[in-house]
Amino acid sequence: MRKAAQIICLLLWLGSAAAAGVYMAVFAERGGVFSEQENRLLAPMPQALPGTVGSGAYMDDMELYLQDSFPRRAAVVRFIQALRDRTGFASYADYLAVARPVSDPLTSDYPPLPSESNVPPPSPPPSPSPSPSPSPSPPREPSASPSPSPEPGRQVIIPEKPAPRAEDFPSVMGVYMQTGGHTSTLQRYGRDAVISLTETLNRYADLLPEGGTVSFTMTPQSVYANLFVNAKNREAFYSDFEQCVYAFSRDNVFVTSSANILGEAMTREEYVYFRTDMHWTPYGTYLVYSDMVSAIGHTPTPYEDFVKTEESPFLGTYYRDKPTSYMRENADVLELLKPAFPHEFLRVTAPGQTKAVPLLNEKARANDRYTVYLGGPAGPWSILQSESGAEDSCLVITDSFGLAFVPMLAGQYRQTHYCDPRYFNAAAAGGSVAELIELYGIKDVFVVLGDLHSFNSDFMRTAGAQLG
Amino acid sequence: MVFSSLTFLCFFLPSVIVLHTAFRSLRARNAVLLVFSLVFYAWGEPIWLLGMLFTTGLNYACALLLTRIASPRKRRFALFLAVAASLAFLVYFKYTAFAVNSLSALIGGGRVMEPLRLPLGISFYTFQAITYTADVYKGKCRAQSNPLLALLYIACFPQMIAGPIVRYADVAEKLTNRAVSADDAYRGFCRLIVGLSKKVLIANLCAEAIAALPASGGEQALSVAGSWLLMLLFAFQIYFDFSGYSDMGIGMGRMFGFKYPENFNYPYISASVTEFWRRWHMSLGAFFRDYVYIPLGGNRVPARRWVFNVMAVWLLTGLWHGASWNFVAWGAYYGLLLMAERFAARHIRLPVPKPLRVAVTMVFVLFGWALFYYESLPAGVGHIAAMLGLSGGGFADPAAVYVLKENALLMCAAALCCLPWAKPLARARAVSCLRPVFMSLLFALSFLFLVGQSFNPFLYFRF
Repeated sequence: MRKAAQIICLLLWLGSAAAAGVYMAVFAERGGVFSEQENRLLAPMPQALPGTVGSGAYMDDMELYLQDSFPRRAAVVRFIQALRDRTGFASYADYLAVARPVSDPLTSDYPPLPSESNVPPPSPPPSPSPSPSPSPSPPREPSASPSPSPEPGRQVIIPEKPAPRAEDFPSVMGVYMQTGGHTSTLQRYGRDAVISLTETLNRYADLLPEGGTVSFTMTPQSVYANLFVNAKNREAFYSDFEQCVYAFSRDNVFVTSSANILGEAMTREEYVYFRTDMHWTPYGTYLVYSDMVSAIGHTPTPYEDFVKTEESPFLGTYYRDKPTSYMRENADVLELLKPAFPHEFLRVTAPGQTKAVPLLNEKARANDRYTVYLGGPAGPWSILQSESGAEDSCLVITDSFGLAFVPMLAGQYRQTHYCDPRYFNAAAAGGSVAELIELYGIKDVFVVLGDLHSFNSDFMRTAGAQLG
Repeated sequence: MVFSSLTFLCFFLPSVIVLHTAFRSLRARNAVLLVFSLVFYAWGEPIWLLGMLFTTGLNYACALLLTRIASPRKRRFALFLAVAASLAFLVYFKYTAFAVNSLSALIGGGRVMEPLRLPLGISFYTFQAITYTADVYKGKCRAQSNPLLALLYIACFPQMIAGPIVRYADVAEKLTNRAVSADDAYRGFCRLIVGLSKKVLIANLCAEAIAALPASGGEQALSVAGSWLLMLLFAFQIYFDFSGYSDMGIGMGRMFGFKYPENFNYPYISASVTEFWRRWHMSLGAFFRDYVYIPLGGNRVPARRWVFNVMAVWLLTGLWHGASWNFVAWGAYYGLLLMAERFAARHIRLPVPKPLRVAVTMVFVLFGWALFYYESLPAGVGHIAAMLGLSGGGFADPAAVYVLKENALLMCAAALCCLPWAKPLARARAVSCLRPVFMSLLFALSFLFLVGQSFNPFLYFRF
């Protein structure tokens, strides 16, 4: 090879590496950005302190920072994932087989775990909330003229709970599915972690005015639900930790079992979970919403009263991170529900300052289309104001599972405040969460979580700390 | 700092190449290399720079002393001092906790000491320093009077952290007289890209696939297919990881005018375990042969003594890789295998076709990797039992099927890259013309995969 060509190649290779370095040094985010794609805070620029430099921690952090802050990193990751998917032959069924808890396979020739020999009966246990669980079926035709139904007089019955004892509950609780007579544990939660979460719920409950309530639900991700949907001889999909949360929380804390409600719906072949996205469908969200608001004495807005549009095909977060042909062929339909009442969605930008943003962000990226709801998880604080005739205000503490949930409360509340603890900032929002609850006269609190942010994560500890 | 990092590729490497090229004088170039080598080492753990300086200084002084004293007794003492002090430093950091915990276990106690944090590259630079003093003692090379050049020999960043173990005689002349042609720089960079690709595109992906498989000692009994698959992936991972790093070191050495010895020569095509060790980590094998096995008498000794020599070398080889009983067992395993192979070669004459011999060797190598892979000996033995179908985990499990399907192409590519087909192909004129394009693609792809390495998809892809 000619010398000149060799030198050109060398300059090209070395120059491109150096140019990437300069580009990173100049354009990289310094502050650490939250990645919804990975559900983690990307590494911020490390600080060179004598201790961190001496131990080598600074250098490790710097490498992670460079990787995390590489310009257009999300696109690079997507490219790599797509490339790797093209070189793999595993199907979605293979994936589900691996996602299935390996210690408890579902084949009929495999005995259930000894610890689960005393499993609950095939039918899922009832939701611990004192209200009946409505089972509305989704209308196939959109309602021609939505009929807003202002909230009638609300009567919340707050039951008195007996003093709980930890030993009354199993040391490990979780989410289960029952198929062909066998029970599989999909998620496990330690009793201490479950009880610990109730302490945060109780702190919220203590802050509320008389008659105020805290409603809690934790929803399994669709990967677990889809295990059930795809299983042969499916019988039940349910959870058992809610009883414990309910028992250890204040009298004005209400607990709804999303797993039980959605499990029943799945056995009725209803479309409550996406196939290509980790979230529940708006209809699944609606079922849980109905149960939660009914439990605290509200009348849920009829499903047909929401203004609906459909987007198809919808390829969600699973597809984004691992674009398989199976998912393309089984793309979802994203139903966008909007309250029929006049409403305005405001994002607090600074203390006392708000900016109107669309409740449904039509410009949400195609590869993260679920963020069409509220424009995706954001901070520091947002407010949905509606003219439904309702009087009270509520607060929804939630992760991305609450995005489709928040608009549904427009019929029951004049103001629905939305806070994602990952993005909350007291200085920007105008005070701690406790101060904002008082400032806005919030009466009810809804805690709506995906299982990613339930008992074994910092999410609720953060939410507790943000109370101030 | 490691070669396969953005810090190295985007900041360190361009800077050192530009500065090294900018100076015409060799003294200035050596100064650039030395300063950058010290920064490279200190970037990981600045405190351990002192340890490397201590080992280098000690061996430099002892080597100088060896040239100035004539008495054989005093010369032996100077050599002993250098070797013993260097090894004591290595032993203290690497083996203290292992020795203390083993003694504690022997008298019925529990684990009493956590392993000390190991200075970066200590096993490599210690051996390199020892070879220097030993070669000066044997008269194979002259002692270096310039302490900075002695330090550059030990600390030169392309080979300092993970080898190959370079002997002073191989680079002595280049320290004072070397030139870098455009061809050297180009071919060196190509070698760097090949090494980077091996590490990032094969070894790292194999590691990800391994992480998706259940391992021995876990909740689930290993299936036969899963255990073989895991070991096959690990065999690919360790080969491409280590040989990739060596390639990068050798390539960069060439870019700066050095010619480092090869460390790997397609080990997985070996038709015997003896051949495997002639092709795997060649610089380490040569070190143990020349500085341990031959001084102990080699094979020109009575049979019993030979057995002792072989086992001593292999137990030390095992221990060099890590302070744990499974490494000791791994070394002993190879010592016994090599002796058995030698016995079989002398007494059993069977016309076995080469592909079969390669396959059988690979099986033994995979058993060896099972001992090497785990941190505890029972887990390694348990894995071998699973490979033999004795663990009760069935023939296959969903995770193995999934990993095999997801990584079939990767494994095929890895297997192809283990074969020496690329060398003659690269010499073909048509292929040679396409090399820059191919190298650019590999470089870009490796770079993108490096960026994506911190991608940590959440719960639902955790398997």
